[in-house]
Amino acid sequence: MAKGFPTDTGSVLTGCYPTSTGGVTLNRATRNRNRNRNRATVQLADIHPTAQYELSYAQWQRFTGFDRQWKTLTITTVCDYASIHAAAQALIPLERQLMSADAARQRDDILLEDALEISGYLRPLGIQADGSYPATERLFYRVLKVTEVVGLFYKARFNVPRPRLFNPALRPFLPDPWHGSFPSNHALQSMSIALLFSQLLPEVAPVSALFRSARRIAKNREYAGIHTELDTQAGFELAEKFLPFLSKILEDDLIAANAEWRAAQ
Amino acid sequence: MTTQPLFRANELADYYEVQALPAHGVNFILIDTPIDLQHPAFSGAQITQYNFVTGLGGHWPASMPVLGPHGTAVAGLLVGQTFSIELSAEEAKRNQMDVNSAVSAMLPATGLAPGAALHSLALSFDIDPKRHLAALDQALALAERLANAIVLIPRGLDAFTDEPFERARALTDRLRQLAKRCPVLCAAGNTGSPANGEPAYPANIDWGQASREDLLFAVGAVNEHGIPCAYSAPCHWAERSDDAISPTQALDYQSENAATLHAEYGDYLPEVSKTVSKRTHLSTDLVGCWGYRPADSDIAHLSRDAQMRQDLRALYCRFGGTSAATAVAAARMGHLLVEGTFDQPMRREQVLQVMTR
Repeated sequence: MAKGFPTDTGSVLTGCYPTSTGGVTLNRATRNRNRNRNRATVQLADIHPTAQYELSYAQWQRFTGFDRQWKTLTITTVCDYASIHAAAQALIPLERQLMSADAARQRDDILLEDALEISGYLRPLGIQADGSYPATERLFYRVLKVTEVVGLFYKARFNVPRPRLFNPALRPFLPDPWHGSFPSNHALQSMSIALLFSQLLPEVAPVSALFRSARRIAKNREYAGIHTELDTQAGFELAEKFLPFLSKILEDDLIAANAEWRAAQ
Repeated sequence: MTTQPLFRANELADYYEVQALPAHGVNFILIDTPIDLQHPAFSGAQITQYNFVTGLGGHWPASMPVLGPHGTAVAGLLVGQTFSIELSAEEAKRNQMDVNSAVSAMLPATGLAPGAALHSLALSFDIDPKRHLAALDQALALAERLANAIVLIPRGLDAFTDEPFERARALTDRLRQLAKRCPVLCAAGNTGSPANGEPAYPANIDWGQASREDLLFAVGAVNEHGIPCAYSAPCHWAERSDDAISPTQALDYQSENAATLHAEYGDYLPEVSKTVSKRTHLSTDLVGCWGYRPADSDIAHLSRDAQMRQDLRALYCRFGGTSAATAVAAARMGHLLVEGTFDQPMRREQVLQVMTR
């Protein structure tokens, strides 16, 4: 490896475009002859770990093609002022529980789950995000991406403030996100993964553990003080209603994941 | 257009006509993953599907996809019918048929009780017990209303295991109520080595100490030699056969049927069992690039109908384990019910005596 071409992925971008002062010599004998090869090693995944999981153009087309249908789903979970106010009051005991000494692991989980991260869904299936099940990883990331957009649309529609505005005594463990509270995107995303995968491969993996994990992840947002139980319920409800569209949008990924698990059996 | 039976379906149809009863008047109540109602093998079958995956009852929405093959395979063993598909010459060639013109391909039935009605209570593996409760309530209501009802639970209900005691108790109570009205056949489990040498829930309810009037049975699976399979949870069940139903003992002609299928159509049948320790049956699979035996993904872009024509073998799978055993045992029980073999009301001892004869 030549000088000026760092190997760590964190600085690959700067390494790709060496400047005249970046250690590049004009001496032919000592010039780096592997320069082009080194450039070619820069992958999309090096720039951002989840960039390779972006939806394909065809998937975006299908997604936008269903616009009219998925934007008009009916959420029956009640979100009037009295209900939200009562639900926000119910968060205080959860907050206390989270701050107790024996909830350290739960706090770590909440911090981990705050980002776009799928280990909480892979672990119940007995696999890890190490590339051994690439189609499954890609499917999960794409579910998260699609459902995030859907969730944000419904959040904007209902425009419900975060629980702290209904209960000023709350001290959320996480900062309030910029968007609305209802429905919970974490609930929508995690239940979408569980519903989709459990339908696809009900007998090859402990899918009930996946549901358990999905519900825990959604509940953790209540512990963190940024969602109420109503948000969670609405997220689950939206996941169920969006499922037919989701399965069509990601059909090719589902087929790949199906083949991956069947081959591993 | 010429007619060319595929898999020698005519002989198979004759075989069913002679050997198997259609079981008209039997009502199977199946609690499992959803059934693919678009499968052509079900076009003539009496199937009603209720949605407990995303709802609490109500009919299965047509827009809802069926992605998992388990329920479809179980339903195929119960009520799968014979059917024919018109193929172009090109499609026939792709299906390895030696013809130069369009053909009408006859495909075999897989159902052991094709005349029975099937009520599918499609249930996911969500740990939320309200869906399980709703499904069992629906099963209770159907069992009350329908004659010759047989309930099948060819899967574990994992949610029961870590529920608070009261709720788990409520679910178990419902199962007991159900088992007092009609037979409930539960798969003993495919979960590998059992923790305590017992079947999975709910097959383990009162395992070995069921009350005399209780009609809840655990169904184990055996291999071609009649030996209980390792993955069949009650692996010691041979010693406790008074508590379990053996599909092999109960349904001799099925083993003959399986042998016939292997001998006659082995080359055509997909996913022929890789090991002798696992006995499998021909059953229905999800259409196209899905299921136990998916078609090649290079035809994934085609419509569902086109996918089906491109690879007829993908309509079938080899299905085994305690889930298949539960379906086989239920079909056998259905035949005996319409024959009037059982006393009414049914008695546990007699059922075990007849079914394991």
